[in-house]
Amino acid sequence: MSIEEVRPALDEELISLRGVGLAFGNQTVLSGIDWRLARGQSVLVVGPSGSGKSTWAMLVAGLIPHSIEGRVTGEVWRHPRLGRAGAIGYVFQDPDSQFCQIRLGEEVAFGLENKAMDPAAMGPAIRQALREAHLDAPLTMEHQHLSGGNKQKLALASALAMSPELIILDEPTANLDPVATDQVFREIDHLTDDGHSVLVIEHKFQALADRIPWMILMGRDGRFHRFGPTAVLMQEERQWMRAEGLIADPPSPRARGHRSPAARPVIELKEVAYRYHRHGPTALNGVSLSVQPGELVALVGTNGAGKSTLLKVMAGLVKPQHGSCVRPDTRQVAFGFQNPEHQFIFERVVDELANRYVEGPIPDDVAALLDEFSLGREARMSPYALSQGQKRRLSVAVMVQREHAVYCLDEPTFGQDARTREVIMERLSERQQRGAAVIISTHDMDLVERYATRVVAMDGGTILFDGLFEELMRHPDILERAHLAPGSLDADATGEPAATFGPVAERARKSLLGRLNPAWKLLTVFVAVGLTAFATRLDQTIAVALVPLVLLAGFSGLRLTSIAKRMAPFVIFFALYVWTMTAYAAVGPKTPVIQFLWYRLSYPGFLKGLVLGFRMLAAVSFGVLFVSTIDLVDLVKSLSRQFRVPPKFSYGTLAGLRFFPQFQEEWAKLRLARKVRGRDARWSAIRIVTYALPLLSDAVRLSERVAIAMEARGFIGPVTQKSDARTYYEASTVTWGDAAFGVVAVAAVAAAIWH
Amino acid sequence: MSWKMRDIVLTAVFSAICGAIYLGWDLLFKAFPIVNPEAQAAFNGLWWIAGGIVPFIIRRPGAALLAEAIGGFMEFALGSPYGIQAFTIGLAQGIGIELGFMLGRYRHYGLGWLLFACGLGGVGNYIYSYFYYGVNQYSALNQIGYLVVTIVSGAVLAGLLSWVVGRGLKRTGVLQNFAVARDAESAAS
Repeated sequence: MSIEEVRPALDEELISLRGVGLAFGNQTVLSGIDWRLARGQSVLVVGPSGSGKSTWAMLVAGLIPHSIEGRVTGEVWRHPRLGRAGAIGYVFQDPDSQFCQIRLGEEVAFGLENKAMDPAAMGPAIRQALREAHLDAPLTMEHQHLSGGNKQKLALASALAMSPELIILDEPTANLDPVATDQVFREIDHLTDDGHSVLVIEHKFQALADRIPWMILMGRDGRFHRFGPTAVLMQEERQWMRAEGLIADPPSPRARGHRSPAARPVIELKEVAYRYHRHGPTALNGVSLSVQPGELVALVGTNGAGKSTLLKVMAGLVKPQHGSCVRPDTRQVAFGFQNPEHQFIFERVVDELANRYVEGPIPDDVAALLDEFSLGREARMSPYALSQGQKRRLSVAVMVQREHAVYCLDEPTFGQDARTREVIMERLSERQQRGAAVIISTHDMDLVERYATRVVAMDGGTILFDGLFEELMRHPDILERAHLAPGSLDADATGEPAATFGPVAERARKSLLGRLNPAWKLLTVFVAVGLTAFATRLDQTIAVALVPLVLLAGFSGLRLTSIAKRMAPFVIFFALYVWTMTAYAAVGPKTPVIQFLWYRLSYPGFLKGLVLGFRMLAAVSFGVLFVSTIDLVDLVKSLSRQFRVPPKFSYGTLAGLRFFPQFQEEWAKLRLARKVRGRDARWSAIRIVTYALPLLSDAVRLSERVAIAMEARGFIGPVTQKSDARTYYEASTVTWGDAAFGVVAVAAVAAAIWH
Repeated sequence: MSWKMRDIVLTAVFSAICGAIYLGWDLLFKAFPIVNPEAQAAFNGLWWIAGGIVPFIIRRPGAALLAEAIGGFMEFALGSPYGIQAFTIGLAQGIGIELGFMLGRYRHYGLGWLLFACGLGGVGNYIYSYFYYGVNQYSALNQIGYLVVTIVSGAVLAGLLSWVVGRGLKRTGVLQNFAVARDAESAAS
């Protein structure tokens, strides 16, 4: 690395790059970049997919080479003001992997903690930031329940909370509906009006062109094609933009396939209702829809309207709880996930396209596909190593390589440049004209107009409109409700409200045990369970097991029935312990035994089994007591505050653990992706091996992205190493109650043993 | 040698997944109780695979111990029949593996060292089981058998399996930014 500090030419300058290049290993990504950013200057960054726009932005923010190692050449200078935590706010492309906490409030607070803000001031600051980002949801809501678009708003709020000097938005609206997109664009206006510098990478740049005065055009070779005033570039560079596939040719009226009225529907839904969790909100409610062969149906509507769920129902990924659903066998359905990685099952691009391991030269049909989707150069690369745009192209190429009766695609053009959008839609359109039914969800009304034979508008899990695009345009009321008309006022609904914390968990959190400090509670539970090893007689173990059970029943806020439910599996294990010892325990020659089949049942063995069983129950009950009365975030914060665990480790672990539920979901999606591709492993033992790679490589990428996102929010330096260098939002304190609980619990166990 | 943020997050994510695998193994083990100590021991190794795969990828001091602590904690939190002992035995196994990599001065992560370290995880498992799971009540011969089989099981189910999966993962190219990708020894091994 040769980064030299050079003096800026102007005092106003925030960033200056001179002859900057970047390479990962021996692969050059950026080169010859000369650029300056003045305070208050806002820049729109435009270039074809895979040209290195995101990489460049990370270099500007200093995430490269700090968080991602890369060889930077040339001179990079940043104003010292950009050195403080949060001075450069960053909103990433992927809405799922930029969070590291569990609930909304904590998420925004994470950055404030890194700035060591007084926790008392955090509440108002958080609410203010959420308001600015137009996200109207309770602070205690878990963000995994937010729709993709609302996640982007949360990411923006997290950046805004830190009052940044420079905000980098990396395709912030790729996942948003037109209304939300418009809001973000307006938000960008506010930011620039307030004197912030904003860098926006955006494929839908035409709408932003008259708002952002400066523009960078980035070429495929990782060099700046041009940097200048937006108005000038928009005029003079039209040719180049068209050649690079950044703007589409003026839409030509197309002959859209028309469904033959006599055809039998391939998919027929009647009064379908679906909810993800038993107590959760309904994702679909009374949806009736039939799709004929030869149709291209576009599902439109606000984020969280139920579009993805409806697609999953049609593909058989989820089974609706109510209503009837007639659809072809899953093998006849191709499903394109929002995340293209779910589609991949091979280790190389060429194998993916051939749907088998390719030895020797590339077969002609595969070569043609590679060409068609401009993946020729990447043929022998791992699908996971492609850029987001390339992955999306590959996943669509994989889907169309085999004929299916139905194609369901969730946002197939998400984050793509005009050329890729075109390639993808043309291929789907071809399939549709050959008689397949194609159903896509999208926010892109231009695409709907050009390709869809029918449009279905959704809101709140119901269908508002089902018909032709032109007809939909004549219904302003529906356009407004489905958030399809930019400029409509009501726009702050969050798709799904908080629902995971049922009343039971809430009661437990507020109970006497729930209010204790989780770190000290963990220590107490440790000591208590450690002592159980000394209980060797039956009366001792029964008494020991009673201690946590009494505590659970009396002070955990859990109802007896729910305690019984939690303990039920362990009663079975208890029985197993007793049986095993009764049947197998070594007994002296004089002990009477009962011969039963080939077992020798003995009374001393039975007693031994009871002892082991009760000891197990004691350990397990302490565990249940701990798990059902703590909050993971609070535990992590307490471990840092009370036990001086470096925040790097505690927060890093939390960021990793929060993905756990996602992996269960991921597993289910992978199974369907396999099924769709006809490669379902026959039995589960094989399944574990074939599933390990996609699942684990996903895990690796997530880890990397989350780590970068955390560092982008100021989680660097002392605040990651010293527990007292940061502040803690809503972390529990230590009181006499914690000491009392420790003494009582340990003393009770000791008394039970040595009575 | 110092831990990067992504090393920690990866440790947490991988260990949590391993924790779920441990739980599955617990339930399988409970559903088909085996009493022969050596046969029992043969299954043990999978319970510390997090301590093999994570250090193989990130190569940091303490990686095995942290991975086992998190894996054990998840196993416990998801409802292991072993209760909080799922966590404490995880620490014992993690310390064993950690010792192995420490003896390699945290420089060697090839197949041989992986087998060796994960075998030592078996020693940790043995010592814990000796005190808490009644291994001390076996005859001397059975105790030796239990120890030897546990060590071999650890080397194979934790060490070898980690190596196979880890190398497969390396081939996908996603590990480019982790220590495993920069290491010449693993490329040669």
